[in-house]
Amino acid sequence: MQPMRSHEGLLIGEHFLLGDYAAAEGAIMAGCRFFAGYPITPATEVAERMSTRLPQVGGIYIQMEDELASMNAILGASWSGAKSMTATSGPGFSLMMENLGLGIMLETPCVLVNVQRGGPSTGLPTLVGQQDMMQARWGSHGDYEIIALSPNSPQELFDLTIRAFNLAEKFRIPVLVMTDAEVGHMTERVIIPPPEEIELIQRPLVRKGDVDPDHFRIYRDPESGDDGDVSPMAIAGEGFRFHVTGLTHDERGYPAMNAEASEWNIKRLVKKIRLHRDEIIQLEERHLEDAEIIVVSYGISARTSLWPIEQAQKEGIRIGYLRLITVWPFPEERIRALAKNIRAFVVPEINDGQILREVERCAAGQAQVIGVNRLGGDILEPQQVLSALRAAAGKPDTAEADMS
Amino acid sequence: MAGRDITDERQFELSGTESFGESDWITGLHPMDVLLRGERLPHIWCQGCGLGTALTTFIGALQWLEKNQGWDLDKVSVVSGIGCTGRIAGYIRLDSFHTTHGRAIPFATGLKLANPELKVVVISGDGDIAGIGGNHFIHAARRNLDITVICVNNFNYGMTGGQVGPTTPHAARAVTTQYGNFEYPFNLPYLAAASGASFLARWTVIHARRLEWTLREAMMYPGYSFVEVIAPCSTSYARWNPEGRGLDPEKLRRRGLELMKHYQAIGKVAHGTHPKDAAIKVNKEGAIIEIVEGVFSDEPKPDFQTAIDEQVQIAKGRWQATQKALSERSQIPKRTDIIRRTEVQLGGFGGQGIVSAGRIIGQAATIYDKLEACFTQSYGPEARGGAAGSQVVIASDPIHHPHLIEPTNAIIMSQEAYAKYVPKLATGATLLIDDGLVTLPEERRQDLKTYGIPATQIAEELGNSRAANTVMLGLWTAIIGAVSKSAMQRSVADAVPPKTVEVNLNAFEAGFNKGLHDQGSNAV
Amino acid sequence: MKFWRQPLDQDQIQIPHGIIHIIEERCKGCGFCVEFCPRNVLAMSKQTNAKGYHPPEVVDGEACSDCGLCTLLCPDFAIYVESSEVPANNKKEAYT
Repeated sequence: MQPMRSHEGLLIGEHFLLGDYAAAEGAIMAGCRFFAGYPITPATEVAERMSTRLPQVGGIYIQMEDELASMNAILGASWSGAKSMTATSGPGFSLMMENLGLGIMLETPCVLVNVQRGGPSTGLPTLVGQQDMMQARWGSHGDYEIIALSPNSPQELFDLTIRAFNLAEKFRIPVLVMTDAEVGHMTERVIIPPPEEIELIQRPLVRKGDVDPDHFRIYRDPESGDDGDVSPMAIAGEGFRFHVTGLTHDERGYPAMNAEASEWNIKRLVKKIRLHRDEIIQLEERHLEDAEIIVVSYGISARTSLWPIEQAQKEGIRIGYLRLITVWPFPEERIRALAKNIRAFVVPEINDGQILREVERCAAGQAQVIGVNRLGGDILEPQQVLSALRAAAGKPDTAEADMS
Repeated sequence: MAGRDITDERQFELSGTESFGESDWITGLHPMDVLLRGERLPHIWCQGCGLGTALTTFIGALQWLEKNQGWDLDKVSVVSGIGCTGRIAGYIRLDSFHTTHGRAIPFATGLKLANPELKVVVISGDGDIAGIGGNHFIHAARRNLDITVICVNNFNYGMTGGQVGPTTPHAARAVTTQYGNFEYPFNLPYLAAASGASFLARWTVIHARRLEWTLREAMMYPGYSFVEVIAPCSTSYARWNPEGRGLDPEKLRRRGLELMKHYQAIGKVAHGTHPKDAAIKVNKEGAIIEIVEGVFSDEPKPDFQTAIDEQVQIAKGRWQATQKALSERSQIPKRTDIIRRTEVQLGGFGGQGIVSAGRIIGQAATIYDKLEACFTQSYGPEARGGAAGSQVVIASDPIHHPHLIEPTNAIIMSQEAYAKYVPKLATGATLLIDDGLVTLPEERRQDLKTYGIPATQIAEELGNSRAANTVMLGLWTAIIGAVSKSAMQRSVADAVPPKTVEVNLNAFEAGFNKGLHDQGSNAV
Repeated sequence: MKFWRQPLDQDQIQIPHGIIHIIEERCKGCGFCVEFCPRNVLAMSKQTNAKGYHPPEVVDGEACSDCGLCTLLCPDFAIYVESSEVPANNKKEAYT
């Protein structure tokens, strides 16, 4: 099934839209025509919206028996040529880890939206957290690279879900949209441009007649060399009679149980991301030029840091802002370069310090790294961030600032 | 993309038993070679393992379907899980997927739904399908998705060395039940039947011909078809159990054969058997003494795809209606005055429309007045009757902080919400209450500007008690002025059911007029 | 095989006949084909293949009725039957 670029049923224009709904609309605009999921707060509304909207655009919505099944179903759909997505949170994200790994190993384009809630375990079903950021990076077993994006508003949930599909298709990889309960359950204006203005990327695909099936390699064009290029994909039913497996395999997709094959396999999986880091990483930067303090944050925590940053600037602290729109792969080189000339990084996040560790690793002792943390349940209070900024600058934490 | 011949020397060396280039298999010698990945053969299965026979019957059925039913085998996909049986996907020359343990069925579900033209066959073992994948097995049967599930049952986990599984007979031995299995096994056709599957069959591989016929039928069957294939595990299961234990040395070398003979002797062909009567019988020592075989049921029922196709037609009709409503949405001039950050707290009990009211304000502010607004609601496990709260922040500038920090006004419609939210209001905030439901306590904040309206009573008089929230919105619009009246009227009309637009606009007007009248004076 | 009485149309019935092909190097010597051949066409060979298994050998090829069971039962794709154009009952040793 090759997604047709039909504009029928697409929502356009200005809408006052729930974040979760915006993710669903972004997916539909990106050409997603298959959604499999399982109800879980606070991601349920993504599924609800998809269940109403997908049949209107000729797509399929299915509620599976659990998140293991949901993740597998979207992989299967992707191998039938559909752009596919699931959405989950908390324990559901843990269940998806097994087959996120399968998606990475089979090099399957698809999108997983995690509307993060507080954990561990059942944790805080209705309340916000950013505690899955490291799970997003390392949650499935084995070595791999992953792409994770972090939106800070319903508008960005729309925009970044489209981007997630584009990256998934381009690099043949599951892409994570790591939003949270605050953004997912927030309703704001979302502007949806007409489809002609949205660039969509389709996976590199081999179609019937392009290549003699006997000469087709599902994982590498033998001529392309080993330089991080993404291999063209075939889909089921086109006569290539290909095989794919979660086992370590060779370029034909056949199991290959040895160290050399593993080396070749994993290097290819990581190189296709690492060598395209500049293209994948998207940052929002403000006032970095002469900053002595730089706030590094993402998603809702980056957004709620903006007011304290403006306040601190008014108090004379030279403060910069670096928002990770792409969280994984991590902008190592950028952080490393910035660390040389500043006093401290301040990292606000709703967890016990996860991205903080990445910043620390890249700063490598050249700048102080200070976390501002709330352990789930609510977003960061502006006053808490402001106090941390003052402390980082070595200023006394005195008067309460006026919010207006 | 220029290809190389598959027999070319590879660009990098792979060694090991499972790599291309090591095979001593010369293909094209056997009529089934055309559907085999000769370069991967010989297969990993032990001497006398029944899996090879399960595969020949499957290929035989496919070749028959191609020849006699005109099937295009390019459109057939095979999905397997993990285990000895899971390797079938790697040997058959069709689009084939070797997935994770237990997950073949959900993978197949996605594959089939996204391209209904495909014929999708799941082949996996008993541990994979009935153990780790049991949940997927029953749910696919319940849906009646048009796929074929072939479960090759060898009564144990063969690949890991013969551990007990969900089909190991009671009292039988496995490496992990050396004193006899103290659990009871699944009767798989019965499990599938109870889950909703309507094509049910079981054969031992010794009845290869009839198994092949059944596989043809199963694949042609419209809906979920389940075939259990009993196959000998010559290395693991046979080692520990009476059927294969204590054989003389010559026979010991061919335990698989002894098991095949045993299955031939105890197999009882009985088509149409009720699955509940098809349990595999064992004696006290755990030796299998009867296996009922045959096609137990094959009465089609409405399949899943048909139901999906019907839904699409309804959904498309509804989209037309949505699109019409959106296209009729009128516009008003953008608001040009500067609105400073206005924080609105709404509170009441579930069912009063507290959440809708907040959303109506947000929609009015953004879509019609072109301001910024951020609407959030409090989530709790309660449904109707419990506490309900929602919040809106309105401003001309982008809203960095989505929560209320210092609520500048509030709409309160229950005593409980009054107690909960009023203490948090900013100094000098404006409080709007349904004074038919909220009684102001004697000791109360004197800094607030409080306005009351019997909103619920007014709404009842207008003929719809559920419009009480709209009465409050009218009052709020007049008193607070952060959002224009025309924006609010449009947003109310967008949000309420079409038949109640008139009563809601009347309710809004009633609240608005009261607000204009009371404005400037502290009414309560 | 003996019938207690001869079918009336025995002259017109043509018993199919097959020619057995054994791919010795694929065989793992499980013995399925030998054991379950309804007409005892096969026996285990004394010879071994390169892997040390005893493949089957044809001991009564004329008796083969092209039933194909060996093809279907063989787990290793090491044996198959090709239909012969000459019916088995036109062969000298088809019936005794």
